[in-house]
Amino acid sequence: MNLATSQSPRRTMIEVKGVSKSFGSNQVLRDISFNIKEGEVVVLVGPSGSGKSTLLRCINFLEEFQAGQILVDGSSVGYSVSGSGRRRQSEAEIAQLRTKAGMVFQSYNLFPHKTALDNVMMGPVLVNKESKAEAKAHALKLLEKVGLADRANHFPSQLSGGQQQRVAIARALAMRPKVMLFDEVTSALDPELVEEVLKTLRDLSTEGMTMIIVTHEMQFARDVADRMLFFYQGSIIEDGPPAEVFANPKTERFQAFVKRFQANSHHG
Amino acid sequence: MDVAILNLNYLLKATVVTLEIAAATVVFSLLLGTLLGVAATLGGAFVRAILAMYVYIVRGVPVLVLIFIAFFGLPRTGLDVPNYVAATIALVVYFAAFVADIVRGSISAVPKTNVEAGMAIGLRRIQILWQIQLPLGMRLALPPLVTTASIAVKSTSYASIVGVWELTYASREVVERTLAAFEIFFTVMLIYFCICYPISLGASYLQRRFQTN
Repeated sequence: MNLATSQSPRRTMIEVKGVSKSFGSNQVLRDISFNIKEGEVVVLVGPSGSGKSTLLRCINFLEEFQAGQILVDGSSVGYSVSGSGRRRQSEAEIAQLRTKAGMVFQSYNLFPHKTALDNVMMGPVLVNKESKAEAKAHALKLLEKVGLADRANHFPSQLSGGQQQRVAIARALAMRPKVMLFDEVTSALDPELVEEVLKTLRDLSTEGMTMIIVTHEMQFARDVADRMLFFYQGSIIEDGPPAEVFANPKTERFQAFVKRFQANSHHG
Repeated sequence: MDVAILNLNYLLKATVVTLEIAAATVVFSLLLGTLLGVAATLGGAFVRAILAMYVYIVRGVPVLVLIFIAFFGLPRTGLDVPNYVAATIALVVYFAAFVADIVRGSISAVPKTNVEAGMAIGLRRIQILWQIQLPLGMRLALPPLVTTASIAVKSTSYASIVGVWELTYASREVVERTLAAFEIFFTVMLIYFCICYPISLGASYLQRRFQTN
């Protein structure tokens, strides 16, 4: 898939056009615009509260936004825009759109009353109407891919944080999404469990999955990202390949951010 | 305790009636209450306001008064039901309110993160309710529901006031005949305990079972 897409001109997978969002009087996203191509791995970095997680959640419409438009694989997310007006989509339309983007959360959010296998099978069976046998075969393959074939019948409470997070990645992949969204997926993990999750992300990126990753793992960001966006107070103030951004930062804010990170972080 | 043993058969026959009323009360108030609790979860502010009013009214009225209203009131509306049916209806109306409040509260106590995980894989709202919020919420609801069920079982004794022949009514008959008030009521106490205790046991079993999951 990666080879096929790299030979033909890559199409745009995510379009963010002038998105603004406020929580009350607090504006968290200010007129954000950028495009992401198929197979691109984009890392969002920035200080806490800079809006990167909120933007990620907007792409899956877990957050509403007051202005702008987001397109995933050509489909408008959350609102249908025609001319100057926009209409909130129906609950069914929104649910359907969410299947295009797989979301992985900081706190894993596995369903605690379902086994790893059932967590992964749930979406395909209930939403994509796959047969149980088909969904199970696919789910087992995905669990194997994330290295947890032998944990299929374990409940989340019987798994380590890193294992739970990998099940959560398998659950998102089971929907055969067009893009994957990762929201600080290693932040809740013990340091020794971080690497197993990052490895899963690296594997995905080499397979050509389009990915947006919100992370504080700067070294990982430099390694895996095709492109790095730096958020500051609701705006993107750096945008480019990580090597370039690190070598020639346009803003002092980013320099200060990186410096602080190198001082504080054992990974970076 | 000879007098209690002599009359045990009579009391046990009445216990069957108590069990029937208790079972009907628990089953129907669980069903009705769960339905109302879910309706309050799905419905808008209006539905929630109606339910809140129902819960407040019922909380402010003794169950015995509700039983009198059902016993004297239902025949006036043309529903000429036997006294045990009137009493059961009153008990269901009373306890369904508590069940509804417990179910609504437990569903809303399910962490939002679980709901968002369901949204993220494209589940519809009704699927999230059925697959995530209800199973997880009912685990939270179990302890308060068991307490309510035990209270409901014991409250069936109020039905004796409107002449329903059940355990409490029969025990008063026996006491009037034998004048052995202490022995008989002590026996009756044990019988009520034997009904309620297994409910608590079953509940803690269920709780343990769910917790390991």
